[in-house]
Amino acid sequence: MNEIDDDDISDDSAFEQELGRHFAAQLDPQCGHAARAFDAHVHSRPRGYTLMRVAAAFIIGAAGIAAFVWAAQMFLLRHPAQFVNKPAAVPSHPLATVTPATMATDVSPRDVTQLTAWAASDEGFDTVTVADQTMPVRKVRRDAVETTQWFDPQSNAQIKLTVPVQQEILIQEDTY
Amino acid sequence: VEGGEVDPTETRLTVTQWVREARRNGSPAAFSALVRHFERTALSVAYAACGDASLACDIVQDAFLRAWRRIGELKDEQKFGAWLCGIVRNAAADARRRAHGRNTLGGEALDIAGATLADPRSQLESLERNEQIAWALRQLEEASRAAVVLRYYQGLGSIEIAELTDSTPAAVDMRLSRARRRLKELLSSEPDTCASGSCDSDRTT
Repeated sequence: MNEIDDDDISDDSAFEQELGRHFAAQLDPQCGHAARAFDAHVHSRPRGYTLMRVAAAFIIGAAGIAAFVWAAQMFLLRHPAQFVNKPAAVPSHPLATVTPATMATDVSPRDVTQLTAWAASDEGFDTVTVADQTMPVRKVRRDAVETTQWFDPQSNAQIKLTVPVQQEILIQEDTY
Repeated sequence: VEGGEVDPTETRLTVTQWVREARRNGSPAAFSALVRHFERTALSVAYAACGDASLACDIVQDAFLRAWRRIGELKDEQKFGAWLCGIVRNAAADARRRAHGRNTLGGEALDIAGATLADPRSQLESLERNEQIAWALRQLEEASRAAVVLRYYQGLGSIEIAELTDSTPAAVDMRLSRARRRLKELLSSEPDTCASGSCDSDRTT
């Protein structure tokens, strides 16, 4: 039994080949499935991952906007005077509109609009006497109409206030 | 390794690089290369464990996904193959528990193997022979069956089989020698056994 002759070796070789054919017939048709399954698994992941990222970005963006609106509302509630009573800056253009301010409380004026129309003219040189001393000046005249309009919730009335303003501006000139 | 054209050291280096890339950087491309490289090995181990080719295919797919999810737990990058084979064996055990009481060794694959034969008589003989081999393989213990499949399907040497099965080359040689002898004995006596009905009674398809 322990003797190994040529027939035994030949037998072994044929037997091993038969085993190899048997396993190949069984397992070769199954090759490649795992690689395809893994590739499909990997490629399916980014789609869901991207969707999750987009959804997360959308939620964060929406939360940011909501937080900003809430903060702005809270600020306006706490500091209404800054937007209601503060005099508007004089516009640089002869016909300029100041943007309306939003009222914070029900009793405060709403929808305030200020309109300033102005014109300036150079009236040339003149002399003025100050403390018995005569000095040359340049005279500039500025004519303006300042219109302020708002809604008063207490009286439920739209109020318009128009103020004409005339200014003479004297600019001292050097004497020679 | 197969074909004798690839330097095993170079292959091992490449495999280690893939493992490192997959483990440290989570590279799907590197792991995909590992899947392709180890698929036949995993199929061999799964087939030895469950005895059914199509079930082995399912087990291997499951095992690779498990390995991909748990690759961070791999301690020794040089031993990816052995680690993977452990996962395959666990997945096969789970599959056996799920399909408790079923044993379909060779049935579907026998049809595939037989379909290539035109002559009905030789086809029948081939089917019977495949069935005999499948029955004989079932009589071996799992470790011996794994060694036989890895050797005669994949053509691995004793050292490589030992690394994959947490064994020693000497033990693998011994196991292979005994398995060959046992298979020969079983296959020389098997026709009578099958004729007496015990072959069919083993199969509870």
